[in-house]
This record gives sequence, C-alpha cells and structure tokens, in this order.
Amino acid sequence: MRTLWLIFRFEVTRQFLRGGYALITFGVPILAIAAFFLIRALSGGDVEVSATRDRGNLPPGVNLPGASAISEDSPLAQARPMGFVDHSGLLSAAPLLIRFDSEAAAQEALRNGEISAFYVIAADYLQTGEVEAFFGRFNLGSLSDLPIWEALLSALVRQTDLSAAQLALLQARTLDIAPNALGDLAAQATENTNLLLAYVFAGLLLFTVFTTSGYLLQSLTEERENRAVEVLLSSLRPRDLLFGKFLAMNALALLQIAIWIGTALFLLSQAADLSPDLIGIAPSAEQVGVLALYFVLSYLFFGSIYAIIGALTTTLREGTQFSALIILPAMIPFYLATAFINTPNAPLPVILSLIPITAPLAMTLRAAITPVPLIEVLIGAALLGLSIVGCVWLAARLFRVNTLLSGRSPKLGDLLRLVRERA
Amino acid sequence: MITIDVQNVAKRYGQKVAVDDVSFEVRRGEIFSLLGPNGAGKTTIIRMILDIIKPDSGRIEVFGAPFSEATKQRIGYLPEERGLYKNVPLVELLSYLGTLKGMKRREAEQRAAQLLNELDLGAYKKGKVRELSRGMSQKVQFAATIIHRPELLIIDEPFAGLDPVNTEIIKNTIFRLRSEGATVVMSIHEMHQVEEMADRLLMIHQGRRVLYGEVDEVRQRYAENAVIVSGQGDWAALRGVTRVQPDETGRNITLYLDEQTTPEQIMAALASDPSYTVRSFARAVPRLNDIFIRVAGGEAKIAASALDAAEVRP
Repeated sequence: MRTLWLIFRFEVTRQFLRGGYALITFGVPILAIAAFFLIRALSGGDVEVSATRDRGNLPPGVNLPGASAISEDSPLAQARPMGFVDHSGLLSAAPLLIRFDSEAAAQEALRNGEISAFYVIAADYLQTGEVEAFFGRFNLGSLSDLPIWEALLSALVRQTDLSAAQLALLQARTLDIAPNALGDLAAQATENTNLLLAYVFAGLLLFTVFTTSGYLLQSLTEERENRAVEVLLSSLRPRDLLFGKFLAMNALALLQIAIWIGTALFLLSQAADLSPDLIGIAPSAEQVGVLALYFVLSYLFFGSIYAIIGALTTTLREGTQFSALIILPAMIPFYLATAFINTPNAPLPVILSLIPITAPLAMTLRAAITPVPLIEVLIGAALLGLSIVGCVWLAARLFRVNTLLSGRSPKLGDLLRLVRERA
Repeated sequence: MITIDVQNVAKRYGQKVAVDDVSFEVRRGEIFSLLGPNGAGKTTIIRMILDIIKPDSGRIEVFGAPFSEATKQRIGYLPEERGLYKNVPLVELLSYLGTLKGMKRREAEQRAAQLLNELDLGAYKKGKVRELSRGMSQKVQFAATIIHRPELLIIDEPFAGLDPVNTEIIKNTIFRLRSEGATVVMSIHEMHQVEEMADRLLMIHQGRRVLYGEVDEVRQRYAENAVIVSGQGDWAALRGVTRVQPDETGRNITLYLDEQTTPEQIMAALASDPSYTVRSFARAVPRLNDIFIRVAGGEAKIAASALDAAEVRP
C-alpha cells in the first residue's frame, strides 16, 4: 500500500507541475465563468427594479423582491406568449400574459400552439401562494415565472390593508409554482425529457472518457518513452506501477470532471432568473442510482481498457491509434439509439446492455428511458465489474511482459503469447 | 559469503537462446565484472538476477535466498537502457526513487542533496533532467542508483557517455561503496577499467559462459610463453628465443620462448651478459581486450572447454 501511495502522490504532483492539467481543469471553468458574466453584463441581465412599477399602498420599508419589470422589447416579450387562469380574482390582466376564463380554454390554446404554457392561480392564493404551471412538450424556452410574478406583484401592491401574510408573499423571492404536464402532451414531454437525460448522461460519460483517457495513456507509455521503466521495475512490481498510475490518473480525471460539473451547476443557478426552469427533468431515485452506478463502472471500465492499450503501446501516438478499435464498438448503442428509444426492453437493447463493451452506453440509454429490471442492472454491473478486474489484471500482465523492452508494439498474434509468457 | 548464486540458468525468447545453462557466483564485497559482446546475454542475466524477468530453468539466489520484494530494497540498479523523468526537480526525483527503495521522505531528500553535491551537481538541485547535459544526466542516474546505500550494486555500462573527469568521479564512488561493504556487479565494455577495478569476471558469449575467474588468473591463463623487455642488445641471439616482436613504438620488445625455456632463465641470461642493457623486464600477459577479441572472435568453444578444465573455483 505504501508503494501505491508513493506512486499515486508522485503522479498527481507531477501532473499539477506540468501545468497543462491545471490549466485545463481550472482554466476552462474560469473562462466559462468569465464569459458568462461578461455576456450577462453586456445583455443587461441584472436590471434594476423598474421605476415605473406601481408601488400602490406598499408600506414604507417593505422592499420588493429582485424580479425585474419586463419591457416590451425583452427576449421574453418576443417569445411565444404564456397564459393564465385566475381563480383568486386578484388579476384582471397582466402584461405579456393572455388571460383565460377557464383551464379548459387555456388547455385548448396550449394544444393549438397559441401559448407555450399557462399558469393557474389558486382561489386561495392570498393564503397559500399556490400557482400551478401547465405546459405541453418540454422546451427549455417554454417556461418562465417572471411575467406571472410581475403581474402578481403589481396586483398585490395595489391591495389595501395588506396583511402580514400578504407582506410575506411580497417579500418572498420565489413563487411556489407546481409544474404540470398535460395528457398525451405529457407523455411526449416525458419522453423528450428522458431522451434528453439519456443523452446528457451518455454524452457526459463519453466526454469524460475522451478528455481524460489521454492522461492515463500518456502516463503508462511515458516510462518506456523516457526509458525510466527498468529503474522503476528494480524497485517495485509492475502491477503496483500500473495500479498506482491507474488510480492517480482516474482520480485526477474525476476531479477535473467534478470541477467542471460544479462550475456548470453554479452557472445554471446564476442563470435561473434569465433562463427557464428545467421543469420536466425529474428522474426517479432509481434512475439516478442506476445512471450513477453505471457512470462510475463505465468510467473505470474504459479506464481499464485504456490501461491495456497503454501497456501494449510504446508511445502515446500509438496508444491513441489503438483506442479507436475500442471506442467504435463501444459506440454501437448510439448508432442504434432509435431502437433503444422505441423498444428499450427488446432483446437487442437488453443484450447490448449486458455485454461489457457496449453496456456503458446501452444501460445508460435504457435506464434514462425506462425502468430497467433490477436483475438486469445487477447482472450488467457484475459483468462490468468483473471485466474491470480482468482488464486491469491483463493490463498489469501485458505491462510486465511488454515493458521488458521489446522495443516495439506487439502484433495481435503476439498477444496470446505475451499473456502466457514467463516475464 | 556469497551475495549472488546463479546455477544452471537458461532463458529463451521464442526460438532464440538468450542464456544457456550459465552458472556463477558473486562474492560479498567484491567487484565482479560481467563481460561479453553485444547481444551475448549479459542484460538478460542481470534482469533475471533482479527478477525483472524469470528464467526458464535454473536457480538464482540473492543474499542467500530466492528473490523477494524485500530484496529489491537492498539493491541499486543502473540499467543500460536508462532514463529519468525529465520535468521533475532533481531532489524531488531522487527522493521519490529513494522512497520507493524504502527510505523515509526527509531522509531521502537529505541524501539526494548530499549525493548531488558529491557528484558535483550541487548547483542543479532545483534543476530538471531536461536542463542537464548527457554526462550530468548520467551522474543523476548513478545517484538514483545508490541513494539508498545498497548492499548490492548492479551497474550496466556505468561509464558510457562520461568524460574522463566524470568517469573518475563515478569510479571513485564505486570504490568507496565497495570499501563500505557493498558488492558490485558491473557490466562493462572498457577492458582497461575491468583490469583496474574488477576482482573477478564472467564472460558470456552467445548465451554461454566462456570465461570465469579472477582477473589476474584469467590473464595468466591466456598468457603465452613470452617476456616483454626494453633496453638494448641482440635479443634474437638469446638461447630459447624463437621470435622477436617489437611493439609500435619500438621500445618494448616481446620475446617468444620455446617450450623448454622459462622467463626466469631469460632473466638470468640477461643479468649475466654485460652486452645487454635492460631497462624493464616482465612476463608477457595479454590484455583483457585481446582475450576478449580472441574469445568473442571465434575461440569461444576452445576457451570454454579449456577453462572448464582449468577453472579456479572459490
């Protein structure tokens, strides 16, 4: 364990000293944040509360929340309109919102595409603050609580004799909006949402593997390129060297991804008042569990495949060429995405989600689209786990034999001999 | 005390026989030289001793036992194919390699700084290998080999690429380590260094042992019945001299003797005859380089059979 720790620490330190890793890991988020705030500043995202807002009978000292008034030429004003149904009697009209007398009328308008969504203000809104949102198909641009909030704010401000509860509503920074999807439109929305979820996870996995695999490949071929390997092998076992590097490079890669995802989440939170809520992406706990499990297993599986490639090749360039042989079959589920979407539990998707090389993408696609039977999840995970162990063992074996300095990369026919060879 | 015991070891790579039934021992505290032409099997033997590769047959013991992970920490190895991480500061690099050999980090850092000073690299402690000349890199590599004060030092071509000054620095360090009790196994092509440094030698040719024993004894074994003299006189007129061979300078003359005449008889004849002026007199012993060329150049089988009969065992 001490040796593993020494290798791990040395590799991690060295990657940071190189600069390239730190630049990409921290530079990309810094650039993204800088670009975000620059664009936001240029587009006037943070607008002061409009001076034209009617303060009505608002008592002195009561501050309005940060929601901004909407001008006629704002992006929201240009988008497909939204509607509202008011059971509270609070609103007679609202800027940018179309009033409907009944939910049925609003639904009809929604189906006809006249509006992108509508809000229903509860009869007891003044007591509960409840507002429901109805939308058709999921669309990132379909929802924004800004117009309804503006309208409600104006209405509340006009009230006389504000109660403590009304004051609290005024001071609340968000509306308690309950999202709803409608009938067959809801099914379409759910499908679209799940598909988006599948692509997000699958894309994230591929992106992670592609962007970080280079670290491991480079690390595993480095000692043969700089000819330090024989010195190291006189001090430690080849498998310790391989495991140490494997752990270090994967830890660095996951750290990088965590920082990037953290940055993305931060930016999304900052953009919440400008961009619509991601209502509709609501995976179940089971889905999240399966996707998370397969993300980690898949990442380690591809890492172990890259470890084999690194063990077989003598230069990073060769390793990169080899990796295409692995990535192409791994992408098969992507090529068959239509089959996965239409019949996620058909034999082909099921089989592909159990074969280790295709399981990462296949199970991710299936799990995002439909509940996958637990037994299949477990079998797939077990096979993937066994494959990881097997691949790392094989990589260590090949690393030991091939490292011993044949000076060339083995041909396919050499592989069996290498595995059997007494190093 | 035997530090390395190699018995009947063989290794093949596919159809190629790299090492064929080789046996030898390395004694504690000696400088043992491993000789042989390129591709003879020296590096394979070294890697088998270090357990980097496994022999197909035979037995190897180091420090009186089969090789184990603990054995690695008692050995320093300078391979022929060498290199280091090019972008890591020298002290950090050496201390990392020291910790892999079981040293504590602080101890390894102190020792690294001390070694860099001793090897005349003190000014480069914070430098990186990529910033050094080839000779300097070689010395850093040597420092990495001995940072943990190994009991057994196995060095493959330690002087390759070094200028005379740095060669002397490395040579003196090897002698100092030997005087401190270390055993040194040295694969080397500079025969004059073997004559100067080594106590015993093993020569491998085409995977087989062809020379083995103490350096002086091996040279004597290959000596012809001849003497080398310098001075003046009619050398061919001496009784028992069959041939006179001056060297390139003309100052040293080799006198080849018949089977009945000994060097002692020639010396007595020269001393008793005032017509000869003798400035130096020595028995003609071949240089290791000549023996190497003879053995590697075609006399391997003859030499092997002769030496097997005449071998001096410890």
